Amino acid sequence: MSIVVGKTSKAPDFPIAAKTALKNDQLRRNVAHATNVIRTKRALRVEEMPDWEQLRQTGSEIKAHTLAHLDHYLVEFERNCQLAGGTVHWARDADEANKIAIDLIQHYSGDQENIEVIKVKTMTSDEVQMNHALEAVGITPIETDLADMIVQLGNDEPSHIVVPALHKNRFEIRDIFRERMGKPELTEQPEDLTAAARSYLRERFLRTKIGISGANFAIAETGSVCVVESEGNGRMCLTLPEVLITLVGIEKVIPTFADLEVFLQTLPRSATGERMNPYNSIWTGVTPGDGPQAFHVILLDNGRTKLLADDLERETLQCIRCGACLNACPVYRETGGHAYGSIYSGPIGAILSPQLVSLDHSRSLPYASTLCGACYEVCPVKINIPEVLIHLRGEVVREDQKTLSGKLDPENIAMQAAAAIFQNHRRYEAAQRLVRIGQTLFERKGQLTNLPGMAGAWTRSRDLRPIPKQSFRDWWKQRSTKGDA
Amino acid sequence: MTAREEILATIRTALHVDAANPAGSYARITAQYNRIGKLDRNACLELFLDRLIDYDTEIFQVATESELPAAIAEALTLANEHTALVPCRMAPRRHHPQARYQSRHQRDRRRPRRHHHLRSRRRRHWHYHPRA
Repeated sequence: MSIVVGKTSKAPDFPIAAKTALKNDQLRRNVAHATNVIRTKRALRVEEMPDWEQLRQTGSEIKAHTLAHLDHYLVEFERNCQLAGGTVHWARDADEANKIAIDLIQHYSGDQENIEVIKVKTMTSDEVQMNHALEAVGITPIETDLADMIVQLGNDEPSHIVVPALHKNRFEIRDIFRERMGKPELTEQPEDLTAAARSYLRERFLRTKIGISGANFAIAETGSVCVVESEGNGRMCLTLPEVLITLVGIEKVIPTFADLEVFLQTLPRSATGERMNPYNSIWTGVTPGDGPQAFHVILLDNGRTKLLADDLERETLQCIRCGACLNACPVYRETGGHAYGSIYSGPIGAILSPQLVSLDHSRSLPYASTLCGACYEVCPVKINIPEVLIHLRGEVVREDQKTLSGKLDPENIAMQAAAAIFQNHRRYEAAQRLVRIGQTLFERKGQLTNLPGMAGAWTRSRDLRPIPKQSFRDWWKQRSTKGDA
Repeated sequence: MTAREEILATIRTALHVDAANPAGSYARITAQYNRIGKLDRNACLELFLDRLIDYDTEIFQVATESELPAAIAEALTLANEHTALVPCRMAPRRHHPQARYQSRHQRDRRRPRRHHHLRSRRRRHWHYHPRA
C-alpha cells in the first residue's frame, strides 16, 4: 500500500514551517484579510437561518449513519451508477487511483500525442498527487478553477481547501499571469485578471476531450454525482468533454437525493458565505447526445477505511470540505495553510492528514492547535475536532513511548516523574516546597521568566505565575491546628 | 483479492457489521429543520426584493402591465443599450415604440458588448400593488 496525502512525507514539522510562515508579512496580511472576509460573510449567512442548528444536527447524523453502513451505500451507489451507464473503479491507494486514471486517459486518447485533460478543482486529486502522476507519463493536466490555476501556473501548493490561492493577493496573481500567459500589460484589476483567465481557459475547454473532476457528494439512491462550485468552470468540465473521470473519496457517499436539501444549505454558507452555490451540477451516468458519452468513477480509499473502527476517528470522515474550520482557527489565520505541510490544512487537516497516513507523517499536526474549539462550533457536520486532536496527541505519545529514544526523551521522563509525584501527597508536598525555593531565581515582577530547559518554551511566550507562598493544603492544616487549640 | 473486495472487506471488519438494517437506522435520523416555508405571499415578495437588492440588482416596480414598456425603456437607457432580446411569447407590440428587436441569430453575430455593472442599491419605484 502506498498511501499518499499530498507531500506530507517530505514536509517539515509544523513548528518549523510555521516559523517561516510567520516571518512572511505579505502572506500573513493576505491570509488575515481573506479569512476575515469569508468568516464575516459566513456569520451573516448563518445568522439569517432560524434552523441552522437543526440543519447541522441532521447533516451530522446523515454522515454518521452513512459511515456506519458505508459498505451498503458504496455497493448501492456502484449498482445505480453502472445502471445509468457509468463505470465504477475501486482504488486502494493513490498509486492505484492514478494508474486507473492514466489507463483510462490513454485508452480514450488512442495514439494521440500531447494529451491534455481539463480538471475541476478537486482536493482528492491533490491528495493523490494526480497532476504529478499525469505529467510523469506525458499527460498535461489543466486546472480550470481560477485559484487552482493560479496555484498551478505559479508552481505553488494549495493553502486552503476551498480557496487554494488565498495566500496570494491580486498583485502577486497579476505577476504570475503576466509571466505564464505572456501578457505583460495585464493590470491587477479583478475584472482584468478574470478576463485573462477566461480567455486562457475558454480555448482549452473547447479543444480538450477528457475532463477530470472530484465530487462533493455521491448519491447512493440514484447513482448520481454532485459537484458544487462558484465559477462555472466545473459545469464546463462536466459537460463539454467526451469522457469524464470522477475521483471520489469513499466517504463522500450519501444515502438519498433528498439528503442534498440539508447539505446544499449548509455547505455554501459554511464555505464561502453564499446562500446558494452559484453552480450545482448533478449528473447520473451518461445520456446519449448530451454531455460526456463515457463516465468513470474512481472510488478511493487511501487510508480512509482505517479510520472507521474507532468512533471518534470515524467522525473525521464526516467532513464535507467546507473549510469553515480553517477560517475560524486562530492558528491557521496566523500561519496560513502551507505550514501544515499537507494539502489538508487547518483544524480538519490537523486531524485528517495524520490519520490517513497512520501517523507515519504529520505527527506534529495534532499539536498545531490551541484547542479553543472554534472549529467545532462552525463545523456544519459537527465534527468534534478538539476531541479528535487530543485523542491523536495521546496516540502520538503512546507510539513514541514504545521506542527507546521516546522513552529517554526529556519530556517523557518529566511526565513520568510528574505522574509519580502526583500519585502521593507526601511527594507532592515535597515537590511544592522544592519549587517554592527554586522559583525565586526566576521570579520577576510577579511572573516566572526564562525558565531553564523545556519549561523555557512555555515562559518564552506565555505568562506563568509562581506558586504561592502558602498552598491551600498548608492553610487548611494551619487552620485545623489553630481550631483544635 | 480485487481492490473492491479488499476495501469492502476492510470496511466490514472495521464496522463489525451485524446485518444491521440501514433503512431503519436512516429513518431514525432527526430532521427538525424547516422543510416548508412559513412566509405568506407578501412576506415572500419582500424577502425576494431584499435579496435582489443584496445582489446589486436594479429593481423597477410597476403597478400595471401598461407601465411595463416605459420601465423596460428606462432600464435600457440606464444600461446604455438600444437593443434587447425578447422571449418568444412576449408580443413586441407591448413594448416601447422606440425599442428595436433582433433575433438570437442577429445577436450572436454582434461584437461582444461592454459589461455594465449596475451597482445602485436604490429602489426606483417602491410601491407594489399585488393584483387582486
